[in-house]
Amino acid sequence: MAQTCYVCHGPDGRSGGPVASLAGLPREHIVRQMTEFRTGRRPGTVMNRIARSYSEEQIGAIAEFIATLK
Amino acid sequence: MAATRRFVLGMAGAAAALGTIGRPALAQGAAGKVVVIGAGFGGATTARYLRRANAALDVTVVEREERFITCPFSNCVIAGFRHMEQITHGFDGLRKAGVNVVKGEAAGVDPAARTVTLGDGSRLSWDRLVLSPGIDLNFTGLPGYSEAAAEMMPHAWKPGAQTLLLRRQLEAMPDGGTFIVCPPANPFRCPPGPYERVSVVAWYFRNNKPKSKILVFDAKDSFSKQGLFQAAWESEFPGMITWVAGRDGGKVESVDAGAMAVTTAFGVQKGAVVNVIPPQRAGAIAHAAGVAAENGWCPVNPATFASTRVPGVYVVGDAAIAGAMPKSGSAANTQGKVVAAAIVDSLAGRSPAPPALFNVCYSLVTPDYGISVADVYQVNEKGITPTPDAGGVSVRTPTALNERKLEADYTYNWYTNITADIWG
Repeated sequence: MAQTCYVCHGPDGRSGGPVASLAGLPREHIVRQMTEFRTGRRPGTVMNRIARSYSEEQIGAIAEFIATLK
Repeated sequence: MAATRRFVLGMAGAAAALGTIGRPALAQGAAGKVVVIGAGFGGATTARYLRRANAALDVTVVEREERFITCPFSNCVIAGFRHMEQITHGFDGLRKAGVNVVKGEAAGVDPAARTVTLGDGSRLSWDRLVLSPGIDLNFTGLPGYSEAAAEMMPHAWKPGAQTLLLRRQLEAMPDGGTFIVCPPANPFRCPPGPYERVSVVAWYFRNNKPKSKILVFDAKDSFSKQGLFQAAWESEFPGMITWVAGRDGGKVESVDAGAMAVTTAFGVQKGAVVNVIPPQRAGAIAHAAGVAAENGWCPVNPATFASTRVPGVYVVGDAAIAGAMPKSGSAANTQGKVVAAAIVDSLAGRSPAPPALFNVCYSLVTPDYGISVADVYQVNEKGITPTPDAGGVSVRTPTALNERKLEADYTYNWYTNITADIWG
């Protein structure tokens, strides 16, 4: 599921552009950012729309996978 | 029905999908031979992610061109702020990933013998076949339009010589000329593409030929990101662009390339430059292989993208009927990842994990003004549908975040990252 993130965040979560790299980010950080996007606490352009598509459990699973990226 | 039960597994299913993705390579078991037709967004992604998931797989991509030119960003070439080399990608990245790249054109498929025949008569055998042929233009779909007519009224809907032809025509057009764009009915490749093209050409006109006009004769009554595009046309290029909906007489009945004229219910309109985007269908090999339906596109199982018509064959990208997913590069990229996982599971005798399907389509209005639509899809007995109360288009009224500029930056970022994911 988290491999879909690579479209904007780069292959294996390593971005070649201004959008953040995900590789190396801890699970808790991803969960917090995604939850804040989802609830609107963190303003966003694209990620707020995307984050609303995922349940808390799915966000946890995505974060779990991203935390394995080196 | 087992499939239905699988869909309601919800989170358990998503975790299972992650399990598949997270498992180390080589631990996947079953080897096999996979042939992929086409090294574009769908095919190259599939090939690469097959090798990532299981390095024991023998993966061959058949591609007729030496290098792949992307449709995304070809509008930037037409508007003069990108060069062809910047949208052209070689296949060394695929080769480095252990994919065999064969130059050739697939001519036929024998599903019983599990072989594909190439144009030179050679034959490749497969355990699983993936077709990612993209689109063919239907030159008989619009009276007066033909391959010869396209030399005068370019479609520029397959990038390359056509892209450069349209660019040259716009450069040669005198200030005050009329540029006519004729988008087709649904479904077609890149739903926001014609309107992005209108936008960035208007930007080019504003800077270089400000007295020029753009007339859009549309077969449709509505289009992708319409509210955002039309608001941008008004604020960025006031008075330059006229869009005529199909129901208001926008549907093109015929074209006359010699006269550079387009006939609609309104009568005959001449343009200095005319861009005709004709109706489309799945690439020829999909029809030869028997996976295309009467409507010209390929029905697939929405969870695996396996053809519903021919066993052992999968279809990804523009050629597939993918429910609510648009025919886009992002969609083909995530579909390729789904197909790769489904093939690995199928060769190992496992039932497929739930698919993760996503799309984002960025469009540029000017080089500094971007908009987007993004959706995460659900797959269930209704097929592929967007997640309710989520996703969708950019904010209607920009805030202090400066969304339009940010999304322009994200558009370039997307191109860099998705092309690295596929061909890098």
